[in-house]
Amino acid sequence: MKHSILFFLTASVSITAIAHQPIMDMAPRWNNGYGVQTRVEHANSETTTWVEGVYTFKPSVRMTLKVPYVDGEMGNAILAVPLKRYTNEGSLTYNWSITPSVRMPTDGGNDWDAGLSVSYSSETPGLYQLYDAYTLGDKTGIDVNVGWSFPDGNGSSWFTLWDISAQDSDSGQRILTGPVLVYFKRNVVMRAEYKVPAYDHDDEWKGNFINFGIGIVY
Amino acid sequence: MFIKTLAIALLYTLLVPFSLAQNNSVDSQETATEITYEKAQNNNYIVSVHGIVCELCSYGVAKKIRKLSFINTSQANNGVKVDVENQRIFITLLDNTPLDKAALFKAIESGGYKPIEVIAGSQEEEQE
Repeated sequence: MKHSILFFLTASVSITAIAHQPIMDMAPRWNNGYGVQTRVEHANSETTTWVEGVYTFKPSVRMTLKVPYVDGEMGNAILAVPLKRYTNEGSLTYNWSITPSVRMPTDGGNDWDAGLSVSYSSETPGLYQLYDAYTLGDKTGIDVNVGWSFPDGNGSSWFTLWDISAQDSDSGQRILTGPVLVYFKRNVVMRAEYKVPAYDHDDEWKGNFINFGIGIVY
Repeated sequence: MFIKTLAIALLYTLLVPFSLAQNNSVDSQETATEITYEKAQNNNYIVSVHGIVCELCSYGVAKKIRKLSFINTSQANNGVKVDVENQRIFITLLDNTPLDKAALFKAIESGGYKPIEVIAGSQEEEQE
């Protein structure tokens, strides 16, 4: 799969902040690798800028930190430790992942939240797929990314994925779905996604979801 | 409620194989299979690597190989080219410098992949 992802359950405030962002899942998968990315998401008539970092101690142990900013104000940061079990077989690589996480009251509040996610992702030279289930506070959800990758043989690839995200919380239920476009060039990755509600019975959710991100790994 | 039930079921479904994978999988940290190789006349070698299918994911393993003292980084692609379509890495060694297969395999494993075999040859020779 030319493209990782992707996923772990991050104890995110909303389904849009869960782990399947490109850098955080797919790379870095090497010892002592690290990366940063920033992404801007627009949902519920609100724009949130995320600043995120990842450090890979070894392929099976990572640490991620995600900090949201809304109108210049820091929100609640999420610290997670994705624990991965990789298997490499010929033209297939896949991993199971368990990710404990904690959302810290960095917005000045007092509430801490713990989360847990379990995910599976696999990749071949042409196909990428990710399945993630998570729970955090009153929120429980699943997220699925499936799609194709198109490497050019010189260090860059396009990924065209389809995303389905479902979440249940005290405010209701919703299912969002839409396309995801990912581009890699050497160690730089860009991601854009657009999702619309396929099922919306959530009192706190209105409209579509748009996300743009760029990151780099070393 | 339907979504929550579905999510819990998926969590459970994913968790069971994860525990099995802990016991049964062959991961990137596993000791590489013993290899044989012949001395390359032009310092070019081809390394077969299981699981190396992603351009971005292989960035780290290429970087680690380039740090090896016997790699000729003055050559094309700084001496290391990853072929994700066929799960191979092409490397070029410095003149009169032997291939240290143990160091090479260790670098690949620390990059998150499973080295299998190394043979003399190059991408250009294959295309001929």
